[in-house]
Amino acid sequence: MSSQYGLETLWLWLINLIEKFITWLGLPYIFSYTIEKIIFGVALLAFISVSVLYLIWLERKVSAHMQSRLGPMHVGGWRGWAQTIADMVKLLFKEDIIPAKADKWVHRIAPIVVFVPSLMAFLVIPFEKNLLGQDLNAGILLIFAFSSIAVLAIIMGGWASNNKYTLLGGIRSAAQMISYEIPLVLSILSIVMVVGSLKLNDMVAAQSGDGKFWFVFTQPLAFILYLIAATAETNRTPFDIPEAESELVSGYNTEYSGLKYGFYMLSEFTNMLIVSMIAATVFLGGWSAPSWLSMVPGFVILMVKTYFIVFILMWIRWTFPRLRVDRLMDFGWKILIPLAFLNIFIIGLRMVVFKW
Amino acid sequence: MVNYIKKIIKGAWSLIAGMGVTLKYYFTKPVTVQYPYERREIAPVWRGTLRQLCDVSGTEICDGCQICARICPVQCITMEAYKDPADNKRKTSSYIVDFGRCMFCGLCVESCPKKCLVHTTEYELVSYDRTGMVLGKDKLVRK
Amino acid sequence: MTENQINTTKILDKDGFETMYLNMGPQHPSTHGVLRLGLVLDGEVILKAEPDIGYLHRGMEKLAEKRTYQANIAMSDRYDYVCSMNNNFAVALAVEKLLGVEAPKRAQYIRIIMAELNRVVNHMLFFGFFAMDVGATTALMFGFREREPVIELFESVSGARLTYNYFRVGGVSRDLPSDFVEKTKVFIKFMRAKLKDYDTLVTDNVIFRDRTVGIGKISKEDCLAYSLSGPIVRASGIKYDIRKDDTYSLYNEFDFEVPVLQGGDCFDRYMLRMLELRESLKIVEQALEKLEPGEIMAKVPKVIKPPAGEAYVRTESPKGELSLYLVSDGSANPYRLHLRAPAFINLQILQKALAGFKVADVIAILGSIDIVLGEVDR
Repeated sequence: MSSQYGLETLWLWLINLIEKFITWLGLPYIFSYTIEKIIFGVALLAFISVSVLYLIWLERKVSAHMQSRLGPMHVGGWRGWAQTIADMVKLLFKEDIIPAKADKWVHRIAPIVVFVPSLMAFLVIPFEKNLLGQDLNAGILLIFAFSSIAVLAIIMGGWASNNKYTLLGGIRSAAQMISYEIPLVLSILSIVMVVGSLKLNDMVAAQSGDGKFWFVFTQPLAFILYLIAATAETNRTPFDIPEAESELVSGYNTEYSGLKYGFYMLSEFTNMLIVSMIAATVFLGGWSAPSWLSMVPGFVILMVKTYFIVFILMWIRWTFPRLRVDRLMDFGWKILIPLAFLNIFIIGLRMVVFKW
Repeated sequence: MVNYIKKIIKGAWSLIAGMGVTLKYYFTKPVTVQYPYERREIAPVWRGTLRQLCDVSGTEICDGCQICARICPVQCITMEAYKDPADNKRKTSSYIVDFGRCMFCGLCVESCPKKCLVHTTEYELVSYDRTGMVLGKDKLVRK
Repeated sequence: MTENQINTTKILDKDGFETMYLNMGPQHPSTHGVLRLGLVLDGEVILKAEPDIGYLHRGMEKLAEKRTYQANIAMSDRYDYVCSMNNNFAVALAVEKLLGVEAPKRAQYIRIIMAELNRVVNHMLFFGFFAMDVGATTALMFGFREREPVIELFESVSGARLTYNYFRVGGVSRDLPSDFVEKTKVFIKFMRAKLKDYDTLVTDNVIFRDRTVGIGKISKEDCLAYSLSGPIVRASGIKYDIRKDDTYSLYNEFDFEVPVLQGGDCFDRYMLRMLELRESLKIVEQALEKLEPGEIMAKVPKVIKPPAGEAYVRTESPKGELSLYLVSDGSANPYRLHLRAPAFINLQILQKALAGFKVADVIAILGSIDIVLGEVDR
């Protein structure tokens, strides 16, 4: 259940204020609607940017402590919290190099195409009961549709650099991302079957309340499949052949410098954030908490769950070696997809026979 | 079929055990020494920069026998000796060590017959250009 | 051979299409040093691989002719800078053979302890870099963390962390400090506990095995034909270790086994080095028991002028058979010094071992052969 101290009370009060103001001015409703959405969008952008900067610092600290070392300690005083800000400022000052025979416009547009769809996917995630961008009917389908656009950007980045290695990296990455979208969608499909709608708010409602459990306990196979497919979608170890140093120095990133490279980095972490938020919402119960925690705002609960999943993703990254490309494709097509179908079959059987 | 399932379970278990090791190290104390705020302890036999010793009354012990210059593998020691007519001893008028070439092998220290060349435990030698690494007698002799 | 010299349009793959020439150049994060590999690729499969060396050539063998024998030991640290005690060992043994002296017992035990500890250090470095090349970056930090106690032990004895210059003709230069024996025993216990962690983290990991089992097989006949040595040969089924078969300097008093594995692929080479690490720890333990107080240096003149002649000394370094050929003409400088570097000879097998595998396997195979460019190029 959501608490009365949440952010949504603040948001509802703000909406009320704006609507009253616009009707007092005599303008039609469309103006207040626009202004609300603009304010929400700006706040969301600010929140995402700060989150991603924090995530990059967190990754460096977590990986350092797993390796018995310290990570950034110096910049900004306490534990180097300003390290990412310093890095982004440094990237801003770098020279913007476009290789001579490269395709100039494709090279310029590729970082934007990779960054924007991940931002758009945040529109449908419920931060609180009423605090979301737009409560669309096709909620989770929209998120997967947007993540498919990012594949385009990687191919563009790989092709436009006029470099054999980046081309190889771009094509491998595109193949990997396309093949792992199928288990990703299939694993969510079993949840959709049980809930009955694609809206994320309905999924949270199906997990909160008496006698209802989080989907991570009732459908554990779907959770594991989702985590594995999500690691592959965001190009992280053990699936990070496109960025690996095996023969490609940095994969499709090699020829980018300055803020364009910054965009690729930021988009990788934004992808990780969105994937964790979806996992937290769909499997771990989203903004809802048991009734004895109703003092805590739903937004904070969602963030705690999200960062728990983020920690698991980082933990996996720094433990395992990486899979070779053909083994990766084998794993995706021959093991994950049959398991996803098996999962749907089991859940369907359960729904029909036990009505659960 | 049973073998196949056993293989999958064994594989998955090995992954989880590996993650357990990493988590264990997450909670142990890191081993980093944060230079330059903390420094590591150096053993007393550390082969650092060279110094020449003087005896208790402040005169130099080195008598310019050229053994260290001849044994140095990279020929970084040069010196000039003269015979002091006042007390009929040989002394050095200049003693130059080029630390840009020195490989800190310790052969000169071992071979000095009067044991007047020693290693210190300093290892931080910096300068802005190559001439700053060539040290003469004014910096090397420790009174 | 650069791309201009190989006419790739003439090298066609089995379907008659052109192949691609990929240059894993001297600056690369995964080749251990400055090695250039020219790969002729058909899609992802490697058709031909040519190593191109010489980027680190410093002329060490020519330089050795102008320096005295003592200075040569100092220079020999820099051949294979990872296991520098073993290089010192080879040079000291060669000169002693020419002179006809033998080092006293305590010095020989100290030499064996140092050489075996250096083997431990080398295999830890191999472990770290091999696991990192395959993808598990954490293992690199663990490997380096484990090296620290040993390097501090070496520092307390010789005064440096990487190039020790510790051995002398006729013995060792400095005696062990008083707390060396306890510290080494503490280290051995610590190391054995950590090895269990590495087994869980890397060796049993199903992804790691998938990446290395069956990759880069080297058969027994190839080993003998290309005169390889060291862990590569022992992982392909040939039981040959110079410490046992052509023993030198008191190794025959120790009780240790020579592990042999039959597969010949990357995983076997990795596993063999981990087994050798455990055997080395056993040797160090036994040597610490046998240490008695005594002299550390035999009687040799200050300026060493061995009689004219030649000497060939074979030792077992962590990378293979490290041998030294020394010709002296009676003066204070050697007339000719030649190092038979194991990494240089082992690198020949790369062309045969890589054919037919994919590009991502290049790094695994190169890492499992374990080369150091200082030795390859001298």
